[in-house]
Amino acid sequence: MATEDVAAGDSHGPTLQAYFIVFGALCVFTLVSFVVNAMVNADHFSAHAGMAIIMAVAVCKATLVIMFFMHLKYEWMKLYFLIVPVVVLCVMMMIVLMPDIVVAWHPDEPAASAQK
Amino acid sequence: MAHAVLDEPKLHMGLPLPHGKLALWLFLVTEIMFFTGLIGTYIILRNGTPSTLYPWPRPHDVHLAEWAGAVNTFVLICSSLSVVLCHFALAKGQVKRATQYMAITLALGCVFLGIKAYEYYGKISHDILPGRIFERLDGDNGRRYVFHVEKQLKHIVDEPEHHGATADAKKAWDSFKDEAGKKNKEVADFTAAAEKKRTEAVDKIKKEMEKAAPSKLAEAVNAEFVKTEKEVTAKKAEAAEVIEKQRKAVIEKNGSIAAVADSWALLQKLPSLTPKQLNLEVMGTQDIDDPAKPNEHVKPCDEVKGYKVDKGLLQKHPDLHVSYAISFGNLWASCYFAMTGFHAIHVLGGLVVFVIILIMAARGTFQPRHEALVEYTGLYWHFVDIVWIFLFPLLYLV
Repeated sequence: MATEDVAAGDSHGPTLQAYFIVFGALCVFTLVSFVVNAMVNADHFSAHAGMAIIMAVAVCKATLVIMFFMHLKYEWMKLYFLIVPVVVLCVMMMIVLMPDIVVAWHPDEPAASAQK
Repeated sequence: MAHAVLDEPKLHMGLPLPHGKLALWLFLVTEIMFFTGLIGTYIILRNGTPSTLYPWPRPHDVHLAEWAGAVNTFVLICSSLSVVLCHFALAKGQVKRATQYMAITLALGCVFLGIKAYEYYGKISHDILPGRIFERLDGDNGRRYVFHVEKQLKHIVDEPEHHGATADAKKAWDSFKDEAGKKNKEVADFTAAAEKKRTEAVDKIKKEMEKAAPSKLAEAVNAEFVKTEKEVTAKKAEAAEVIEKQRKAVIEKNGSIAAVADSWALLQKLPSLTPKQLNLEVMGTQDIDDPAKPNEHVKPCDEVKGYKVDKGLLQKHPDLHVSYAISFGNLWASCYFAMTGFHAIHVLGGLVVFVIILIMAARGTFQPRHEALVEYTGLYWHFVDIVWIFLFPLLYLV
């Protein structure tokens, strides 16, 4: 049985200014990932480095949205019991499948030397 | 004793959270698992594809417009901001302003779906759909590929105006086709005449040699066949050369007919090509700027050793609708439509709730006490935004 929480949760929260700052940061991050992608296409970055940067940027953006827009920064103590197991499961779901699908031997792929 | 009990704060069971918020977060974490299933599988499948012989499709191959994804990201970020401002305004009691922000959010959501619809239309019109992309060109699928390309080339040749040809160019092209038709008829007549002559000669030889020199009969008849074949082949080669020269002349004089003319040339060559050779003719085996280097974008499913094409049809005319083999194309299409399709359905669900809120506002029943409703709607909408924040780089970038 959850109780009505009037005093604590809703009156805390980001100010209007904070919302706009977060919005600006999100726009900047989007631009960064787009620019990095253009640089990867023009061979200034390797595909792996570009991918790492772009995914890091995506995680930052998601974190900003979750913390500020979804108020999790202020309500973490009330909700972490839901979020933490889910994040663990998400990450594990991918790690667990990797040996069978990513690392497995691919019979169609001849050795690189045979190609040349 | 009683004093001490009265002083103690009343203990409550349960969480210090409103029911609605708890319920919505529970729903959101299940949705997170749902999209992890889709996105995680995509990540794993993509990392699991061998990438030198069979690369993952490039954005160009599957008609993916990165700008569309970037604009959609920006649109969703703006809509996240507007929904949070709506909640902020409603918390302060400003119902009218909150309604305006809600309307903005709905509009931005519709823009997102509009751009998505435009992208889907592009995919469908280029036949980038699961199960409809040619990949290996072996056996039956090779034959299907040839039929398919034949249809596409015929469409280009039959509609020159749709492929950039001016009226003058079309006239010049039509007269060229007439000439080519005449030349082909010449060849056909010559062949028929040569074969008739051969039949007569063979009959004569048979009559003369059957009784007189039967052991030399086969040799003599064969000589006639070889002679006729040489003449016919020479005539065909000469005709083909003349037609090709005329074709090039037409392109010289009327540049706008080039796409149609090159498609026509490939169409004439098509019956003598294997499916994989046709694929290479479409793609071009050599780099277009430096013929000494191989075309690094050609990674056909099985390299046709030694078959060389200088300039493929699509290298010369990149905008033509001609299919080519895209390794892992069908897997790409399945992942793309599954992920963006489910995401679009979730966006649509959010828009439905926005419409409900706007109807409430229109009826005057939207009040500050609905702050929780707007907050939870916002939570759902932010989740949709976060999913897109991950989808965008994984599908559109790198």
